[in-house]
Amino acid sequence: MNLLESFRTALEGIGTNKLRATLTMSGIIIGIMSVIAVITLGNGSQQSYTDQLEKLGATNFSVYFGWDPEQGSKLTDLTVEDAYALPQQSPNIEEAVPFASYFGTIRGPKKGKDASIQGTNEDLLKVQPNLKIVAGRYFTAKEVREGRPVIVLTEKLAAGLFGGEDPLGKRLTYDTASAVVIGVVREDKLMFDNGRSEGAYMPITYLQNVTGLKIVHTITVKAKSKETMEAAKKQTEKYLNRRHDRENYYQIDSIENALGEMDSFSGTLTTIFSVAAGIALFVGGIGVMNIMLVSVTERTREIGIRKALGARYGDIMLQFLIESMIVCLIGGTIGILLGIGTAMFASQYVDVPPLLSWESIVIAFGFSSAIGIFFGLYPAHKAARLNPIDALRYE
Amino acid sequence: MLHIEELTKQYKTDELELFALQNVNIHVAQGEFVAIVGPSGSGKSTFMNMLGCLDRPTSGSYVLDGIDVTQLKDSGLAQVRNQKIGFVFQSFHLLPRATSLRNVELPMMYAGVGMTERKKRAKAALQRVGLGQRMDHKPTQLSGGQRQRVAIARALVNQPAILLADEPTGNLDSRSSIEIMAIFQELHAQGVTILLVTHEADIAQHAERVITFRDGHIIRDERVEKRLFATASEEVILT
Repeated sequence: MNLLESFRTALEGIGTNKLRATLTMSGIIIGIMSVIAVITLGNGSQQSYTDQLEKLGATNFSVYFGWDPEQGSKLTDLTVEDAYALPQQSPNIEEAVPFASYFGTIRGPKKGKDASIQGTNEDLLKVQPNLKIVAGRYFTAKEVREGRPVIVLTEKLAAGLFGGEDPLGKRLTYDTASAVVIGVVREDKLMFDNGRSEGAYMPITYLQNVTGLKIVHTITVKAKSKETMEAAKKQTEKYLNRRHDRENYYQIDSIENALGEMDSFSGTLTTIFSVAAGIALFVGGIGVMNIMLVSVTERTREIGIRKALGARYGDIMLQFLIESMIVCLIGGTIGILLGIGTAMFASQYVDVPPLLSWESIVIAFGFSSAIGIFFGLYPAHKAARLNPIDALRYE
Repeated sequence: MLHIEELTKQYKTDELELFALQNVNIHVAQGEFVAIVGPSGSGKSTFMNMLGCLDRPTSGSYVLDGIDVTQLKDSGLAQVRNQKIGFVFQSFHLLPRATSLRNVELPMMYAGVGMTERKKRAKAALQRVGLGQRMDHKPTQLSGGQRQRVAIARALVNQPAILLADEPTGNLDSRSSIEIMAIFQELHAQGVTILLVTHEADIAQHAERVITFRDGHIIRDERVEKRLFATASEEVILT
């Protein structure tokens, strides 16, 4: 008997008890649905991790002043000059940008807003790819050198202070400082928001002049490539220790490390959910096997008739295998659709974009048919090896 | 056509050995119409299962249409059942959810006959037993006699060497029984070799030769002297 006939026979078999076929399918549907939802969300979180890394600079690392368990917080002795000197110290370092952070209320002509102000230099945009100028301009090296009173707002802060109005050229005050808005940057939303998104950027030199404190809180360093990152870290630490005559004073951390922890956490979650989904699928498969066994028993006489008329072992085997495979494939298809739906629905709550891959669909289809075959094998064998006389006599 | 020598079927249990068939010898020539009779437990059903290649003998030889079937494996037996034997059973054994046409197509499906050819031959076979108007009916929509005629069409459709009928009239009223016997006699007249198992003496009288079984032995093998001839009702027109 050819394959097409086997399919037709199998479909007829399924058609005779639709309710049962549907119930059997539901096990597979739930299993495949969970697998697809987990894979889709897992892929999404993997992708968003990679995106984050790109946005924040995959080759960046930051130098902090350390925390001493005995002395408590150490004082920072980093300087603006350190940042300018670092790229000349190592061929592995591309840029180094100093940061001094302040928090307070920025006042505009109409209203004030709590915000964080980053004092930094002209190279900020080179180390922070998630920032883009959308209006005006960023400050220049000359402005930094001269400590000019200029300020660049994030889009969010600009909207908060000015509403729809054009902020360019307006004067803002912060504590005793006052500066003219020269630009607006858009900051791509980050998965792990560090609170800087409602902020502003000013030349670090101006802030140091106003406050009278020559403080640099961190230096963000951009390595030339991922491969040279470790070397760049070592050279940075060595250089700073030598320059400031310190030992084990600075803490150096890359963004990748910080995000890596998040990623391995989400990886663990994905593994746990995958195992649960796999178990659901396995249970679904057992359901298929159970029903196929019932079906074989019920149709013993039919099998006897078919054998008497010349059906061979392989013919009967194929008929039941295809039957269980069809049930699993239909269940799998519905499961894939529901899984995609579930992933899309869930992604609104867990803040991970669903990322559907063709591979996962192909794998789900492959898995469904594999389950159909694996769990159909024994019942089909049981049917196919029935003795025709006993089968014909079966009531 | 059919040569059986020293055929024995033995059932063994812990307590006893039972010979269902013992040293049976039969030769049936092409075109013969043979009735096999005997009381229940005489071994005639076991014999029928051997003839139909549904069961294997313990010893002896069975050559059907030139094939020594005792040498065949399961798949070979399946092929013999498909190509050489047409079965007609007491309880019809039609697939309940399939139409008459599809039931008749079934043996050809296992023989690998193409769809178009299969439909054509199935239709012709149903017309041959007078069911040209009932092709799309399911067994539940047919009378007992009609169901048995579908089964006969199915048995004939692969042009088998022998037609084996196991109590074909056992579930039928007398009128339908006569109809079925008329079909068998007509098929016999057309040259089909028929072996029919029955416990009804008058049904056996329709054959040319009657073989009587008792306790696993053949006790009588004789020609029928006063043969009965069934006449088909108008509904059944054999071509």
